[in-house]
Amino acid sequence: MNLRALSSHESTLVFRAMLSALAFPARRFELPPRLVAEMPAAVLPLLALVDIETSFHSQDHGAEIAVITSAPVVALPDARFVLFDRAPSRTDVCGLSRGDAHRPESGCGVFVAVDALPSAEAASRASAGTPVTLSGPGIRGAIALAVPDDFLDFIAARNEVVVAAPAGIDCWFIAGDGGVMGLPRTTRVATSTAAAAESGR
Amino acid sequence: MTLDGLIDERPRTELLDEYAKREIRRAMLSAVAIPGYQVPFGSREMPVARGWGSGGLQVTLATVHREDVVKVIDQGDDDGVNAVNLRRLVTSSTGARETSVAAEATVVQSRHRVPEDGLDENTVLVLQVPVPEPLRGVERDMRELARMHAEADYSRMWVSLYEDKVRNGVITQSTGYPCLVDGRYVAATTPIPRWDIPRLHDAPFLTLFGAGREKRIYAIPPYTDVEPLTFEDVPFEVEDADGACCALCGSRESFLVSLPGAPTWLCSDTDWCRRRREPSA
Amino acid sequence: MGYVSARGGLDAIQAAERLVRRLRLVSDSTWLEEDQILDKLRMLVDRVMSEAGLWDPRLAAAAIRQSEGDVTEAVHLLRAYRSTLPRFAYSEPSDADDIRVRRRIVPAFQRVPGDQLLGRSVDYTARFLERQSDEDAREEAEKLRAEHATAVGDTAANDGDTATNDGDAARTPRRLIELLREMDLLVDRRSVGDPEPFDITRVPARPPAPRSALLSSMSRADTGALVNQWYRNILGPDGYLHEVTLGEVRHGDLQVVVAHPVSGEAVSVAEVRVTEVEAIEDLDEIGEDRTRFDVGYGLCFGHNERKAIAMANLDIACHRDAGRTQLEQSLLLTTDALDSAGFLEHLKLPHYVTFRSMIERKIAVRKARRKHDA
Repeated sequence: MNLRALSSHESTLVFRAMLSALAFPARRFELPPRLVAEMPAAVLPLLALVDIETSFHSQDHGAEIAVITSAPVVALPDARFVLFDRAPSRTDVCGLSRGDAHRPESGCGVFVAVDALPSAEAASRASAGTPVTLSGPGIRGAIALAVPDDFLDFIAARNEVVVAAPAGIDCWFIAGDGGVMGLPRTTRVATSTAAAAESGR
Repeated sequence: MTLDGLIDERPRTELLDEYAKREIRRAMLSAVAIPGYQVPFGSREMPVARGWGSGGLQVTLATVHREDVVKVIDQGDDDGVNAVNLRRLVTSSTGARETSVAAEATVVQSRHRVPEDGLDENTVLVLQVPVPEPLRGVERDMRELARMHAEADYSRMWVSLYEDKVRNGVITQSTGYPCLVDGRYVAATTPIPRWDIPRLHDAPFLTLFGAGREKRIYAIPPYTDVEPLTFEDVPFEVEDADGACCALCGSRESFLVSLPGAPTWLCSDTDWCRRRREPSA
Repeated sequence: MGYVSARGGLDAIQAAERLVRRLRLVSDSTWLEEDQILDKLRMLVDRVMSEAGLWDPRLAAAAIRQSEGDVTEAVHLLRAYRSTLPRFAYSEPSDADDIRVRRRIVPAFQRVPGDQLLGRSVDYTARFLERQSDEDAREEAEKLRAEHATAVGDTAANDGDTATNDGDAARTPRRLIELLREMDLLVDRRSVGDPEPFDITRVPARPPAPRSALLSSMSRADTGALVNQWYRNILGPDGYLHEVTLGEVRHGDLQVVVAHPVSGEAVSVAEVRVTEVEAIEDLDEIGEDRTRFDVGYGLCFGHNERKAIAMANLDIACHRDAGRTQLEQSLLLTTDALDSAGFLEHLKLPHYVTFRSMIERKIAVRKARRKHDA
């Protein structure tokens, strides 16, 4: 799979998927299938969003993305956008830029490549992982999802990082099949089983 | 090779270069993640003047692609000259189709009205913002304004509303009523009438606010709390038309504007009014 | 069902566009060429480039012609054009000491190294409105052209503005503040290191902002706005600044240099003309160094002395103000030609939704009062 610059139209399509995913957290949206067939879906957000005036950090394809977009690669704590190719560790998450009350917009945008997106249907099955309840802006009432075991640390760390609102980080999960799901800092993720059972409807 | 040769000399239909769009998009994402917070952005000069929708236009141009369907209104009217001008700029530079029917639109750019109906989860509403700062009436110093928002210190706003009520018997804020968004930031709802405020609360659609002159973008995500600032014993009041109805369609369920004289009342949302009169159309 | 509406709005706009275009293009007078504007209205061209923040005299001339002489409208045309251009390189910092002066005066001293060079200026010309006929003017022009060619000999040496043909050293004279520094009369506020300048075209500046944000905002501010900001601080209610003594007023040419994309060597890509002012400020407040002076700086595109002088004075005033008042906010946020004029003129847009809501509130207040009095 070869990376390349996105056209203006392609960048717009990718951006719209990212915007919808953030506006409606915990819901699946689709990245353009033709692009997903051409290159790893997880790199598409960076290719669409970064340029010479913004910084990023990527575990994979960093050098290539830098050449294509002219965006500078920087260390993790300095990056405005970060791409992880697996569940970020607690250390990773706590080191990300969160912004502060005067500049909350400098909080990091986090893209995480996943095998598959969690689904609401799977939430009630114990085998799918730990059930969590999500609520907040963009979510009508509450949504139940199952978090795979390797993401539990990430969710816990992320919850700590976003507690000091309006500072925080915003996350998108991108599956290999081009599905994308957003988790802005405003979404409350509760891991109590009681709450999950309650809102399963 | 000359510098002129480096620049593409074909007639320009794009109003914004690619980097400008990316910057606006990054600001939009931050805005959605921090509801009601005014995100600074490098606002570019547009073919329309500052104060005439340059911010709404930049947000729309960063959002729209050729498969979108775009509605543009001013005061609720698709046919207002400013709406016409903006709409043709958008469609000619993006290739998107235009419509006057809100339910058909994927992106609605509006100055000072929320369409009466037709907005759902597939619509992005872009409001043009003359003044993004809701606290400007109580504070002029921008350093102090930044502190008030950062510390969620809105006490001076509350005092000002209280004094207004005591002095005048009612809160006299007409349009652009200040609202608390997601329980955190007080935001300027732009000069939309109070009539439209309840429809921003817990809405199925995303609302983006573009202030080109002051170089700020903010957002109200879908299904988000939007509470007009008022007191427990002073209920929020929308505009009262004293029983008047639209002279064309008879509606009392829409926001009406009057022509001086008689007065004659008409729906401000002209397309809503038209569809009410021609339901088969 | 697609877009269905009365087409009154579009028809009205198109009719207005046709009218403007016809009246602009069709006339019995001689066609106005860009060269004529460049040649004969240079101060207007310079002002438009300065306020657009874009150096391109020919484009500025085109904008002036299209706007029919409306300065702010021409500035808008240039800035909107700029928005469509991608940024493909960053220049190397230009050293202002490299400005080759066409005119240079130093009011603070009677004599200075490098001399006072009056140059092309009407400062000491009596303001008599000339009523010479076109025929007489043309005749005089031909005579002057012939005389000048004879006097100079090789016309390649004629660059128009300087009243002298001294060598290169005179064109980059030493600055007065260097002398003041040698005399230990100047506070040293020079930056340490090479801080990245603030880019106001990418990040909106708000107080408290770095000095580079203030200087670049003023550099492309509306000339009248800066002059007004200066004067209202002298005579008006604000009073935040003192009159400076001018150290340098320069008008000259400056190279814009980029690193060659292949060789990496410095290459000049443009020569711009700038006006530069250094203003000497007497320090006399508590907490300031009473034994020294400080300096304010002004620089803008083209030949625009009143703007650069106002800018230099406002620069040092803002530094001395140190955030005590809202001077920085006024300078950063109220002096842009397009922001101010655009917002002012937006009042012409329909506002009937707001007005209807305002009337409703007035009726509500009356109702509340009647209820209260009852």
